[in-house]
Amino acid sequence: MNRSQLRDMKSEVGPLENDLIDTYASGGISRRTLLVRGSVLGLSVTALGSIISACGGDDDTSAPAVTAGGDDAPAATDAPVPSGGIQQGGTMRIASQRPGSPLDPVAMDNIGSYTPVVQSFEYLCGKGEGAALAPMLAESWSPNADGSVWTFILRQGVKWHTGGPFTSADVVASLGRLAGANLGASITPDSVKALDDFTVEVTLLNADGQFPYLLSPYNPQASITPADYELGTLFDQRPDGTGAFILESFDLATGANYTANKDWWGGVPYLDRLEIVFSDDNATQINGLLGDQVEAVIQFAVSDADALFSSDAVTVESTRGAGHRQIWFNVREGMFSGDNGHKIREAVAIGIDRSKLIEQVLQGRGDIGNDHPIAPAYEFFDASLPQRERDIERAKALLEEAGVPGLAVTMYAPDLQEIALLAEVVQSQLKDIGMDITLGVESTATFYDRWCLVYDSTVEPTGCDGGADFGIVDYGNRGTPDRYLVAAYATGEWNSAHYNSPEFNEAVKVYQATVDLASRKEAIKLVQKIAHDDIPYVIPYFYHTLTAYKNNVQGIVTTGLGHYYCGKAGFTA
Amino acid sequence: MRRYLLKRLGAIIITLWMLATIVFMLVNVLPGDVGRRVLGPTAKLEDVRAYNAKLGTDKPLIEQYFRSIKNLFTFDFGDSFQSGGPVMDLILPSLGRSAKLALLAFIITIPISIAAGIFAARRQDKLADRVVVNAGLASSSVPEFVTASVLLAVFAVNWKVGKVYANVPSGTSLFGQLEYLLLPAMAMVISYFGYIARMTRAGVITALHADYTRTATLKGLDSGQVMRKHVLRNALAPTITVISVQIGYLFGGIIGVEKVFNYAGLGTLMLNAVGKKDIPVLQTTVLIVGMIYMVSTLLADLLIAFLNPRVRLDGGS
Amino acid sequence: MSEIDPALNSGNAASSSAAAGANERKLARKETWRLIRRRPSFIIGMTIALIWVVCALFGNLLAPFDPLNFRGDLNSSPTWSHPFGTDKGGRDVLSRVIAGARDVLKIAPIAAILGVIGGVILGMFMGYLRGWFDSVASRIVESFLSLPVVLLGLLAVTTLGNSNVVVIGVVATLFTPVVARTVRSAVLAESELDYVESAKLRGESTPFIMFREILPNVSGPIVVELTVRIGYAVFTVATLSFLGAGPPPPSPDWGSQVSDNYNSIVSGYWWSTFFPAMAIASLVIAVNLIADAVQSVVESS
Repeated sequence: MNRSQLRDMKSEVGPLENDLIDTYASGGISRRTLLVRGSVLGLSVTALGSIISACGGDDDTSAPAVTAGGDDAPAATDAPVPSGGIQQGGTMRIASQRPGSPLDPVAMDNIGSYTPVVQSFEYLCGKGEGAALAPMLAESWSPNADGSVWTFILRQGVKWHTGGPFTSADVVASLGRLAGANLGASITPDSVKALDDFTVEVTLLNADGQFPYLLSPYNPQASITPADYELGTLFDQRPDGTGAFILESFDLATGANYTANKDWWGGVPYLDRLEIVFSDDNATQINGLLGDQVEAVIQFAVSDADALFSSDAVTVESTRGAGHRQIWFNVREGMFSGDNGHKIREAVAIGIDRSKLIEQVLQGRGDIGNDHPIAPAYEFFDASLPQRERDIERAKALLEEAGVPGLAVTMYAPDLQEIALLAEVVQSQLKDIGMDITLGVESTATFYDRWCLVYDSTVEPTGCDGGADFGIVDYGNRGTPDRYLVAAYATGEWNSAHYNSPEFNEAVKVYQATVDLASRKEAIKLVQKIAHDDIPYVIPYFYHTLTAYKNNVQGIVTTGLGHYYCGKAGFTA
Repeated sequence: MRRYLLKRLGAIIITLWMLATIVFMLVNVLPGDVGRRVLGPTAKLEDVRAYNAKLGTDKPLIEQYFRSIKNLFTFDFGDSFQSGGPVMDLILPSLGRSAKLALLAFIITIPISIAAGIFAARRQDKLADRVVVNAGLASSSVPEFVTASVLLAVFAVNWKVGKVYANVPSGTSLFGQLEYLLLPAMAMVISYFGYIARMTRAGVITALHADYTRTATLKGLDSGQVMRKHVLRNALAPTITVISVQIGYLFGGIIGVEKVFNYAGLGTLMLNAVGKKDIPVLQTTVLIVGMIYMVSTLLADLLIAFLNPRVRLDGGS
Repeated sequence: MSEIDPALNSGNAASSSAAAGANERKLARKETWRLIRRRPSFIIGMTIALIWVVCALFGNLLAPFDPLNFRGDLNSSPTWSHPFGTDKGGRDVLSRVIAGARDVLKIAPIAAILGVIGGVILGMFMGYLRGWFDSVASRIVESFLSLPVVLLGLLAVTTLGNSNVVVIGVVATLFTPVVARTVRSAVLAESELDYVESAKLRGESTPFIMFREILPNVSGPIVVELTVRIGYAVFTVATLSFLGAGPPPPSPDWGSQVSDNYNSIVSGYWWSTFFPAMAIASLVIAVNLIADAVQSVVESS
């Protein structure tokens, strides 16, 4: 260990960074965790490299990190490093789910929307290796001592597609818009200040050691748009971004076409053109790849994909992550609320057979869930919470106690990826405890109304209001669980359970304010336990995200959330 | 003749008005507030209200109804609730795609099935006839989405003949388009072959046994002439009617094939418009499909009258 | 889904035995029935249909496995224990095909019968009353005929939810105008005849003339229409389920099975699509064979 080198480094950074370096130097965390955490705190790759070498180099005893390379995945997994063999030129066609809502970059919320939008619109922070962040429109960032004020240094020389320069005014306006939308819990429009043309300071309402994640692809709504962009403008009405591709035509019926942005800050893209082809089901996307009509499929369910696994013209990437499905209960009112409601919720939680679900619905490609949204793939996951196991007799007894043996109820689910099958298997398993479930499987075009929205034109929306009492909804992979915790469990806009526990909210606040890994690990224990005990949502599994492309495709960056970054992608010979 | 045409056109206009009314009633039963649906769940109430005011969806239903009917008859179809652009910008490309596919399917189906029908009728109750009749029955009994999936799996995926995504990229040559459209068209051909062949066969058999055919044969005309001049003229009337009815269905009813081949035709457009409560799109599309149906049945009646002058247009229905 | 105007075939079939007395009619009906029963297409069609009826009635006794239960191997190809293989959830396809008969046979005939009843009533009034009622009703019928079938189904299911009742209602609503048109033209021809005139002179009430005098004489086309409609109903229900507007999952309904599994054909798992698809086809063929037999006998008498 080179102490003097380390000391030099430490003198240049703040207390949060120092704490991280100390923890790593004392062997408290793995190299991979250091890279992830360091990137969040804004430490550059070079800086992190020197920390590692100062501490004696590459002696990694890898703990499971968010993107441990999947079983089928070669080392190429999500590495943005273009390998040598990529050739200049070519058109790449990508099969995508059809966007489920109009493409409003600030309000979009489904996997079909992200890829078309992010070709043009970018975030302040980008995706690095694994769960780490990397510079994007911000070249670097750093927190103050307690993580409550963050300073972002913007990249210079970036141009909007229409030619104007990108400056701090754009960021201030964009974050101001987001303060009225999904960053409402973290900032107000007044929290964001431009210190000069390329420096922005954000003062948070509550300290948050992971704030940069909310300005990255892991919070897809946080696109940076031009200063005078109006809220509610659709992507195709004003596709004026900073990204690697310029929108040429957009048609919800067929797809979107792009040409390369030769002035992109990341360099001239390898590809000349990009075409995103929309369709409503996975089968078409998979068939398109097998039938040579597209070169890549963004995300698909394992149950439809045996032909891809067995094809030798196609590379399938399987990535462990935090994407999951939530079986929600309305805990505020109705049969699932109160003490009796809790009994029913628990009966469902121990009525399902999780390992069978993973086996039958995911063909083994998933991690078991324990009714809280902290995936085992997170480095701070607390494994000490006992796993819920199936217990048919006790589940029956609980239903009996609740006074509803043979409970009959409707469960809603979207017809998306493996979810319809999951709903059917859950229904069949819960029949064993005497529950009689009717399924309402609906297309993604109508399902999200059931999920939590209510379209009453006379009522000011307060996030998730109304909707169905019982159903299954999809959550994609995120680098941190913060969005799940805030949006779904706290009083956020996706809280279909209408769960409201001051105790839980407090635990989340404590967790968010933590800055070093040890205290984060400690704080998450309580979060996990409360969610697990209260059961507003049953979370049966965390699935591995699957993406596939032709063997000659390289350099695509995926987030597991539904983004595909193609700026550095291209074809090998 | 002129009176007849005027009468038919009048009927078409009234029917279209009723169609518009039915659709208006149906879509206004759909739950949900348009502005809320377009702007999303987190939009502010005032924004939603402003949006509804802009679209006119905040007005009483009866007012909306009269406005929409007035707009239809002035050919002002309005803007899509979803895309914000003119309805026709969405519909015309889809209509073009549907028309292209339907046309191709018809170009293949009609000669084959009429020929098969005549062929079978002339060998009534022989083996060849049985084969045509039963093959026709079987082919039209398999739902077209099944035929489509099988064609897709076998040809497009396994043998890489034809395309999985049937949407033709712009700038593709006429011949190149065939590669995209042939498989979905074949799925439709297989479904419709049976109906048309069986209908032709029945018509030809009836005509072959009719008095005028016997007279013509007795007069010493050769069988080819009898067939052309007498049998077919009379026999094809039901076939033509069936075909004209099918045209309407081909435009609006092949959604199963469209779905399998991810083809962005009118069926898919309507399917999406239902989900999004996009009333202007829904209403205009249904009217266009209805119009196609009614015009094609009118043309069929005219064609029948032309082929067989004994048919009086003014009589009956 | 496609439609053929049955009026073409049966419109002129309103029997010419105009003033036939009740007894005569009974005899004639017996004779017709005897002729129908002797036709090979009827025998074959009836046999296949009966097999499905048995499956629908006693499916739970016949099915080797629980059609809704997920167990065993996923996507296993046909073997002795699973003659039709298993689907992507590991469910036995044979059992699901057998159980699926119940849904379709519950929905299709009821929908067809309701549609025919509605169509007969509407068509009788249109054909007999004529005048403004006929003109208005004709336009409504015409507009329903030009309404895309699937659209109405999807709208109804989106609004009312996808229960069996809704599906039956949708199919019956779609069939009513088609049947009404056929019945109308048969009644038009019939009401020109002497016996109607003499009934009017006798001072019989309108409902009496319509339903006691005319209806028995147009029963031929109505029976033909009913058999044809059952075939279409099977088809329509399958199409609606394929588009996600059929009976709710996990109903082993054949259309839903095809729509759940057609994705797997490319992976080589043809059986989970093929067998339910063949079930649909065989039932439609069976009903069509019966309809053919009925139609040719009714028309030639």
